Amino acid sequence: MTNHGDDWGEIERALSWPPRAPASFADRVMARVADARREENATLAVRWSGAPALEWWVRAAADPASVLALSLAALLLWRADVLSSALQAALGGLMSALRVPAPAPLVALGRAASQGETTLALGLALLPAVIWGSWRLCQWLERTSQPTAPAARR
Amino acid sequence: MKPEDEERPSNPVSRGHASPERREEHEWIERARSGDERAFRMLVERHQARAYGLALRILRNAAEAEDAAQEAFVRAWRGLSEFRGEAGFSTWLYRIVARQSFDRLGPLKRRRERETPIESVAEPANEADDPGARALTRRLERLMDVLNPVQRAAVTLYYWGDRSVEEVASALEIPENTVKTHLSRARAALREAWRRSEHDEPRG
Repeated sequence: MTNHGDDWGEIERALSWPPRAPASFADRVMARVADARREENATLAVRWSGAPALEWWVRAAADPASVLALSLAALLLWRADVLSSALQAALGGLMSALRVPAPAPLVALGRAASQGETTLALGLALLPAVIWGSWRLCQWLERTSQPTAPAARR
Repeated sequence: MKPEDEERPSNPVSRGHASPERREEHEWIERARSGDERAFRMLVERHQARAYGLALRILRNAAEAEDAAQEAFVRAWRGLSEFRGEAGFSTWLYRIVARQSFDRLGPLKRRRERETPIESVAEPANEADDPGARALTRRLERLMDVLNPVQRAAVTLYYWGDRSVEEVASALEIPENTVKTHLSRARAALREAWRRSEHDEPRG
């Protein structure tokens, strides 16, 4: 039986030899590096082409949905009395055509709408809904005007 | 036996007394950082055997070890700009290899049935023509199964190229005292397994 020192000497000798790397290992690493590089360049190109060149508030202001929403909101606030009268007239006409009395809440709302402060409050309350509706409308218009989606970049 | 408290400069290049080999490597790193793939290839060729060997010792599966080592090199390429030179390049690279390998251990355990026997791939690099050396290596690789993956990694790094405990700890991201414990237990387990194997199989 060998003594412990001799055992360890042999083990240490064997431990000090690293195995051979498989054949063409470096070639395969470099091929993967080249792939990674191409992928990185493609990602950079996509990021660059989609990079926001302007501040968010400039892009938001230039967005067609924002323009449409703000135009509708401005119209609502500017001609609220006209719109309210038109709405009341349309509602009255509808009710008389259907030969039913107008519901009490609607009558009260119609009377209140003729006052300036109520109109402003109603306008402000409706503003988010108008903006959201305009944005969805604009999205729908964009989708319908672009029949095919652009192919994803690889 | 190697003294465990061996201290070596962590970055000889920056201290101005680097070996020509280290200086050459430093130059390759700088060139590779600026996108020179040839320089990076030099680094791969210098470290491929040990990077692969470390992955192989941890994973005990040739195909998985090759993939882990290759992926580690690709990550090293991508991360070269983050390499500050505080540790040696090899220590930094082995850290990536070790992470890659340890991350794969769990999934690999679940598909052990496809494992390639390690004896068919672990050839000694320097003494490949010496049948005695080859037999010794094969015997050692079989005995490596008595160690856990961290012990195998610690022993492997420590006995290759005079790595200090500090460097092994840095590569494996564990405290130095833990490395010392792993080394001590690994040595005892290997000695014991070596002696037992002498009774079971003929030497040489």
